[in-house]
Amino acid sequence: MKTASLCSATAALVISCLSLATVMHPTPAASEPAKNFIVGDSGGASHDAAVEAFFKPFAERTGIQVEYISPTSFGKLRAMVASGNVPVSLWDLNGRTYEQAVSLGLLEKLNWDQINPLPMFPEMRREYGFGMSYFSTGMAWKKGTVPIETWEDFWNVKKFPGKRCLPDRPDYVLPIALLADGVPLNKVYPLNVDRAFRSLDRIAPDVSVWWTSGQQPTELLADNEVAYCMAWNGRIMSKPGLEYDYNQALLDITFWGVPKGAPAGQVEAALLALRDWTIPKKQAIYAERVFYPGNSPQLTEHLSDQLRDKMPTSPENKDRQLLSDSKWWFQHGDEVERRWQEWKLAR
Amino acid sequence: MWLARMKTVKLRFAVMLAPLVLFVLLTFDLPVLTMLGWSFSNPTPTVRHYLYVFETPVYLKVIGKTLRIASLTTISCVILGYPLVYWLRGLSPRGRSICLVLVLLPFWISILIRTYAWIVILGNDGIVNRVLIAMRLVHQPVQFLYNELGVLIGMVNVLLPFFVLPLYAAFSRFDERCFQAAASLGGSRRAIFWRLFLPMSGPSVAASATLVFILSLGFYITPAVLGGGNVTMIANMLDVLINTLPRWETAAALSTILMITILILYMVNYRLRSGFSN
Repeated sequence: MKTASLCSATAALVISCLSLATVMHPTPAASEPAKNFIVGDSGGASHDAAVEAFFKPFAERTGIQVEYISPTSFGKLRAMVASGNVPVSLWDLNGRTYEQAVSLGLLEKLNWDQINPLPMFPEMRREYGFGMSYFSTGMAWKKGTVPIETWEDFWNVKKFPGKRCLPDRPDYVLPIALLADGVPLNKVYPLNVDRAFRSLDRIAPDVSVWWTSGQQPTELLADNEVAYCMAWNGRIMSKPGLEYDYNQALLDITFWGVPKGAPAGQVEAALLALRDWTIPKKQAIYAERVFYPGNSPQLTEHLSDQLRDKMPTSPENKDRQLLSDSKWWFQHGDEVERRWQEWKLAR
Repeated sequence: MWLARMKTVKLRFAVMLAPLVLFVLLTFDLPVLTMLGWSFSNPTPTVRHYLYVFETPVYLKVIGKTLRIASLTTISCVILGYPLVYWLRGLSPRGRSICLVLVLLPFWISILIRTYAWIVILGNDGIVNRVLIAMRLVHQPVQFLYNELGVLIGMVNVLLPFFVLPLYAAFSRFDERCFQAAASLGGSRRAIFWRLFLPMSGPSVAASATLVFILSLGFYITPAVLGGGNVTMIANMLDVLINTLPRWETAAALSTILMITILILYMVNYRLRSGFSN
């Protein structure tokens, strides 16, 4: 008798657990925008600027609440989509990870009619990606350190002593490894991966830290832990004591993508917010704070001359930088990522 | 009658425990079993993930590095911890409890904060390097961080209490009369230590050392922060395999290898502990 009641109690518990699980995963209704959505971004200075320029005014105007998680990584996106539990409606990607995500089918197609954008640069308007801003990844150091001009200098530890700091990502490090090995800017793509890794073997002993979060380079430079870093221009330029150089830097685009399986109602709300990201006045507020210019051809009219020259997209700065070949990354991204990890682990 | 009552009592316990058992089964055992399943499927049953781990030099290298760092951590804990506990034994009860609180203190601080604190202390501009340069012992800052040395320092700091506390508990169970007897028979302090105390403490040192070794095999935060991306241990590699590559089957195979290693070591630890308490 008792055993029977124990069994039925256990069964009831299991059933209630299961039904709870179904309640927690409601099927999305697509007809109406939800009252909230979640954004995944890299955090830090650019996040603060994004909230101030775009998301906060949007929430005040529409009553749609925006929640945030950070930092983002490609692996996180991949794991999230693979698990089928996707709470996030917008995810930030760069040129390389965008291509990789498209090739692996991790993103939803964007409904551009629904976004209804103001004029945008054509390269910012993609089938699966909404280009939000340009950014640059290049050489940085603390004021008072001997300035360097090329990646060959960065690699030259004898002439420019001190430890180095590089990102823990092949898409940033492989191109500059070739530049450091004497490959001219216009010959970097298609990447000679073997040569890049050979070049990396030379600098690796002097790399103190392979950074994973954009905040690390600023801290390591400020604390005299390293002499030269490869870092994002916005993070460095928004800190008064640090110097950034556009020479031979990598010019890239940050995209918003919608992860596959994101809740439809929330995605609809998120797309409403994306229209704000095409308004040049708002982009000016953003660019003033983090030096990441947005997707509008009219943006420059809203920036002061001085600020315009500091942007990674100013004609003088743009010509000195390397544009990433997204096609190449689309084809080779996965294989290079694997090799990168093995190279790092093997040391 | 009495038997029947015992049965009801047992059943009542079973009912009370059922939610917990179910919770552990669903949230812990089931995922672990699923992981075990992954490591053997492709999706048909296979052992290729294990073969892959053992045939790829990278994985063997990381396993070797992890074992080396874990051994060095354990040895350092023994060298630092044993004299400390021996010295604690001779203190007054008051002094002993003060010292034990000092040993325990780091437990109340988050491991993340303790790890970052080492950056402040051991960095190029940190206290230690400033003192060394001021005393003209070195000309350039010593590179303590972002290498194996930094990881080792951080790990010993975290794990020392795990060595000291069980050893202290074991030492306090020693029968003082043994040493009194030895002294009354004319044994010098040195002879008593080398010929009596040290052999007596052997099993408990081994048990505490295995515990430290087991714990250090799974370290993630310390190598991630103090290694600066230059020192990869098994847990860091699992992170890459799960979150970056992602190659979950390989991660599952590696986790299983790690889990079996740890289970075997736990058995050793258990034997050692039950050995010296008898």
